[in-house]
Amino acid sequence: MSKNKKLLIKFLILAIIFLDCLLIINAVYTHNVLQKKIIYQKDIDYANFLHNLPERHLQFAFFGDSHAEYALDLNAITSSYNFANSGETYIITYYKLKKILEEDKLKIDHFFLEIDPHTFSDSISIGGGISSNLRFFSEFIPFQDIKKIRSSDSVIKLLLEIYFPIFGQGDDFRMLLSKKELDIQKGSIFNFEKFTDSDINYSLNLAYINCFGSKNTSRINPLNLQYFLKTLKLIKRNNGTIIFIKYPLSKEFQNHTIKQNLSSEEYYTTLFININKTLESDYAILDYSNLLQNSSLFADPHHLNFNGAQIFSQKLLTDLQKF
Amino acid sequence: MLFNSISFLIFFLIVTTTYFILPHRYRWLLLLIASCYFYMNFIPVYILVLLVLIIIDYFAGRFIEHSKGKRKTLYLILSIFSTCLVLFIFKYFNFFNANLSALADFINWNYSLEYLSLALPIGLSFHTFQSLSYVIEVYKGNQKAEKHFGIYALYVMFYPQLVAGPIERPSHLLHQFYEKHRVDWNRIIHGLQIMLWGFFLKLVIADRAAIFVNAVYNNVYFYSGMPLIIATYSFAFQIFCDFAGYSLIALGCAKVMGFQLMVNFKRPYLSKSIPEFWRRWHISLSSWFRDYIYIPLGGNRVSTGRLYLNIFLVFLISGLWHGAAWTFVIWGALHGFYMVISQSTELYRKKLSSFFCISRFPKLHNILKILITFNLVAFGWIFFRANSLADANYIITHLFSNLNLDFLRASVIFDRSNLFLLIVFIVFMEIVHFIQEKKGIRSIFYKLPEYLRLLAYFLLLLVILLFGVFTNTKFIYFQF
Repeated sequence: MSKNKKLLIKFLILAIIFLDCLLIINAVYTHNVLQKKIIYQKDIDYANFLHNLPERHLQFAFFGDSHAEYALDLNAITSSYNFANSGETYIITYYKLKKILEEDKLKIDHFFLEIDPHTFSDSISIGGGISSNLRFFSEFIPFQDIKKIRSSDSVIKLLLEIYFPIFGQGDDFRMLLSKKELDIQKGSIFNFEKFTDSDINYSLNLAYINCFGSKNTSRINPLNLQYFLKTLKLIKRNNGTIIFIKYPLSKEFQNHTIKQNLSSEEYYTTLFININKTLESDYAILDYSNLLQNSSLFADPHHLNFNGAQIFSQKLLTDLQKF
Repeated sequence: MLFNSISFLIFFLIVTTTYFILPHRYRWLLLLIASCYFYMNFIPVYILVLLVLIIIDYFAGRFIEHSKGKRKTLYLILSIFSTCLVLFIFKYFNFFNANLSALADFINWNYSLEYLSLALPIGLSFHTFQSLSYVIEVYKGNQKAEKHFGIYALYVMFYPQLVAGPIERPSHLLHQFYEKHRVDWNRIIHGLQIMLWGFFLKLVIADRAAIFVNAVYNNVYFYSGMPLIIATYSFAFQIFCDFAGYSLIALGCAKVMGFQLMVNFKRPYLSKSIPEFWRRWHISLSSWFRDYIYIPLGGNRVSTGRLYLNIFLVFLISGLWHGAAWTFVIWGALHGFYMVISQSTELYRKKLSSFFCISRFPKLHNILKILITFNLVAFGWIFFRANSLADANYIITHLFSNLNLDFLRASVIFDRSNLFLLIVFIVFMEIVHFIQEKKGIRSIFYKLPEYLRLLAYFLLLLVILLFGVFTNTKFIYFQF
């Protein structure tokens, strides 16, 4: 056998061995590591909740990102569930809701949709909110739609992200060592920190960047808004009541955004012009942004901690009587 | 088409395979078409700009070779002028316009020249310098003018080095297009090894460091103290790994097909002085400036004062080459200053080392010199990366204002595990560099049994796939 043929055979054998190892590592990652991520844990919690529901009917359903995820303790609120997830854009909410209503056939009376000052900002909407965890999202977002949302990425890249989620996620393997189970209660999770215990200025700056990005990023990302309006239409088709909710923000954070010349007036005016075109005036608004003045109730400038969630949820329970 | 993309890997595979299948006489055409396709993946219409420059310099070379005296010089000047004019229009016009406008406002002069909204053609600064070196070498008589238009065009736009160097010399590259390259598995494997290391530097280190750097440098006023220090050191490694990674991928790509490109980096952060740093960093550019600006200005065969001025001017121009902004000019000037101080104080520093007996401990002395040089360079990078002079000024004045590590406690951006991984990979890279510096890594590596070598490639590829950052971030030097 010629030297070249020997080399080629050697190369092929090595390539097969390498690919096999990669497949094994990918399988270990998918089954043992990925399932420990919050997004998967919450999905399991929802599946269990749905399974235990006597009939497929909910009075109150909450959607949004980490603001909603941390702010609610729904144990005292019967017939409710918190579907919010950290970093969730309305692009994700739309498809998730479609699955809940059309596949899971869950009937929901009242839909609480988060509309905080950062909810539609460009910095939240990078990659449509599906620039990571694509494998999870591909379970309920059609691939054709994923291609449109992540139009700057090639099909091969998207497929590799879905079927080889291990690529670029090597540091997730430390979750294998983590024994602490996540405490999820009806979709909510709790943070026990207080941002007042650390460098407040640093926390404020970090919170601002996370919410609004650099100076020139847009307040309203067109794709996120488009899917938000689609979500409203989807709810209306399913005869649901829409309630927009603004979650509590620390007074320090609100002052900080004012100092940075961030105007909420123009933002909400634009938002509601678009909402009214879709819904006319068929919705309610609950504004709790200034509800809690005690900064020790916040884990960071814009997320409630466990104590803050308790107080806020009690107030919400009272207000929910009118629904 | 970025090197760190799947489409490039497919492109490379197809072009390389076809290259070896085709008869030698058609290979230049394949490479030219592939290079055009590669270039047009960025802004297609700018291929016309490249074509114009190629035509000008091709004919300039031919005319220079067949001319004498003043006519010869005229063709050279016309070529240099037209090349520099294109560079000026696309890269520097708006910068000079903005500064003239500011000056006009200051002296109440009515000045109203419109800004140009032209995107910078990718790799313009690189291939213009490569073209300039060609016409200058033909003028000097060191290089015969290329008669084959296609080969000359390929010399300018050979895809591995088209967009970010190395800036090749005609004597090194042109003749290689006439050589018949056979399939040599040892050479191919070596080329792939180089590419693998390049991908490691870019995807695992550079793009990971970029997470911290971009978060801080794009919002500097929100940070002070340790975040600024970490981001600055991270940028020092980001820019090295990004650029060296690109150069290695380019070198490896070319080597697989049988072409030798210039080595562009030689472990610059192990330099013991600033002059040594510039002999190891972006070697193709620094040698270009040495040969075509510094030496024509007189080099070191002038008075001391004139020598220092020449050095300073060269680095000032080098700064401007990197970008049309005052931050780059200041960065260049700073390095000019470093070079002048380094040269003028060499004797005093030797005396100081003897006085403090540091020279009696050569290893400790070398470590000190490396650390000092690295920190001087890292300081300069503040200007290179900062979005404005105001940002750079803020960073410098707030570097040491808050040195606690509280920010690691609750920071998404400075995620502790991410930072830890970055440090681990940088340390690994520097260990490899240290071994390369002392003994040469290939000689040690090839003494290992074959199964261990294969395991090393296997693990490196696995590290890239598992720990690489695959967000298709552009190479930093693409903007130049």
